[in-house]
Formats: sequence, C-alpha cells, structure tokens
Amino acid sequence: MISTMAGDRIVICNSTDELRRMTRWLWDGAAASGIPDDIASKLDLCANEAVMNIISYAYPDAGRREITLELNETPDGVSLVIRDDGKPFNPLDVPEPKLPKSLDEALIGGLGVHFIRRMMTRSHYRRADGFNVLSFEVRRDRPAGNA
Amino acid sequence: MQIDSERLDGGVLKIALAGRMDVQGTQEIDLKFTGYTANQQAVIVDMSAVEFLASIGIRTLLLAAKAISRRGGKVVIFNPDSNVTSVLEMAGIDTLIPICRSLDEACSAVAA
Repeated sequence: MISTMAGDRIVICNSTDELRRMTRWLWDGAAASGIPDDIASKLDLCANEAVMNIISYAYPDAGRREITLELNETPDGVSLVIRDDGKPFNPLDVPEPKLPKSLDEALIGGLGVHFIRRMMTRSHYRRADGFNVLSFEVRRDRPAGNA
Repeated sequence: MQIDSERLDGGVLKIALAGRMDVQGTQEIDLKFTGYTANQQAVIVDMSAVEFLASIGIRTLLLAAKAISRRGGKVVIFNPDSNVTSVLEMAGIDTLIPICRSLDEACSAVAA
C-alpha cells in the first residue's frame, strides 16, 4: 500500500478531451509540491497512459463516467491514485511486452503499462467498493526506471 | 501539434514535429504524417521540438516506419530531447528506428 496524505484531487470524465486538463492539473500540483520536472514528466506520461487505458477499455457501455485522480506527497516523493468505476481490471496483471527485434514484428500497443512499471518506483492495484484503484509512486531521491 | 515537411538533397524528406505528442496532439498530425510519409523512401523525423511522447504517438511513428520499411525505404528519428529519448528507449523503438543526433548522420543513415 502506498501511504496517502491529504492530497489534491481532480475529477474528469471518460473523454480524451479531458487529458490535457488532467495534465495541467498534474503539473500545477507537481510544481506546488516542488517536484522536479523530470519526475513530473514521468508522472505525466504514466497518468496519461493509465487514464487512456481506462477511457478505452473500462466502459463497455457508452455514457459519461467519472475518473478521479488524487496527487499526494509521500515521505519519499509523490503518488498518484486513479479511481474508476469501470469493469474490474488490474493493468499490472498485463504481462510484460516482448520488445520487438524488428519493425516487421513490432506490435502496436501495450506500452502504457510497461511505462508505468518501468518509470514508477512502486505501483499497486486494488478493487474496492466497485472501483478500480490504481496507485503509483515515484520517489525523488533516486532515479526511477533504471531497473 | 505542428507538422512541417522539407525536401532535402538526395530525395530525403525531413518531417518536423512540434508540440505534445499525446492523444490530442497525435490526432492533430496523424493524417498529415501518414500522408507525408506515403511513397517516401528516405524519411527523417525531426523530433527536436516534441516535448512529450505517449504510446499513441509511438504507434503513429511505428506504423509509418513499418510502411516505409516494407517498401525498402529507411526512416530515422532526429534529435529527440532527453525525456522523449528515454520513452523511445524504454519502448525499444530506438533499436527499430535509429536515433540520429546530427542532420548529416541522419541523411547518411537514410540515403540509399
């Protein structure tokens, strides 16, 4: 579990038009917390990938739904918690993609979760009260993604 | 996003991308990018002014590169910034589409 403190929240709806607003919110929150730009960039990418996956796959039925994001300072860095009420899905269960050796065999897609795994220091999923809750944390004291 | 193309010597086409290559940005340039790269044999994708790259942008780059490669052509990426470079490396794209740091290097890499 990633510890959380009182954080900054945003509610967006399940539309790709909302991603830029989410991104601005994320950068504002990162700046307010003194998060360096390179860390904020990683959060930016992972948030975009995670929310894009939710928008694309979580809701088999059309209609407006809400996705909530919460940015929290942690003792080591910053964490992002993403909640959606779509169908149960743990993105962290998706197998590591095999990175292609040639353009011919290069598959399109599946990279979003790969980025989250590689760039974030910790990531965690749980299903709670009808919500998918994905949280990830990136620490400021050591570079992430060097695994 | 912005997209511009420039014809260089030796039949090389340089396509310059600028802005945020997220869902919205990629949608803005996707059709033009596919159009510009159609029927080209030597393409340099100048990413020096791309400030953000998400998987959807990688998809657009890969689809074009696959098509060019199937025709026996060559494509390279020119001068992405450090964030974009690390995303390309993490996705393994740098091993499929070479990253060049100078224009001379890029031109020689795509030359027949």
